[in-house]
Amino acid sequence: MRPLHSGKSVVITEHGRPIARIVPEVETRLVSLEEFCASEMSDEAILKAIDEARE
Amino acid sequence: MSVYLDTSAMIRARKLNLQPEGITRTHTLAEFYSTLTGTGVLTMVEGQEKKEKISPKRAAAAARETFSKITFVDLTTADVFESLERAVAENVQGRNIHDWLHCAAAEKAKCAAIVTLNFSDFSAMTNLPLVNPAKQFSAGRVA
Repeated sequence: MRPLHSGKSVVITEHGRPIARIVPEVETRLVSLEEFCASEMSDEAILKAIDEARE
Repeated sequence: MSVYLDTSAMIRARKLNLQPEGITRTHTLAEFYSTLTGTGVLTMVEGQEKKEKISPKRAAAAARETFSKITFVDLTTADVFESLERAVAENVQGRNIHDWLHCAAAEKAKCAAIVTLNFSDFSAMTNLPLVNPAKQFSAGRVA
């Protein structure tokens, strides 16, 4: 659990072969519009959020 | 000639507190709201990765303000059927259909360019020039 708590994903292997990956959840904060606009957000982060919103 | 702004461009405009002029389709409003109220956008807070989102009420108000100078050009049902048939030929699959239809709307509106962060997907879908929002919005050039 320690790598997950530090934000790292964990690869599950079977006979040395990777078969799955556990990705830690990132906390989501509800913020004001001003806070949202002031936060640094990369282009990739915006595109990923749009992609997730389409799921 | 006007430019077409996709959802990523409108979110960048929101973050810069701009009300850009240009064209989009009504579906962009839904994507804008959905992105701002959904699972959140990744950012760094005190050295830790966090996602941030805003309330539905704030997102609706932000949409009304951010899109206040936008002209909407929508695809008809016939347009969408025709676009889907062209998508088959280009092997467009899954969620990419949303971007494909953004391109179709931009072409229908005879836009001069598409303002987007998503050059990698859009470049395979359209011959229209692509413009990064940072460039489009720089020096007050929002139209």
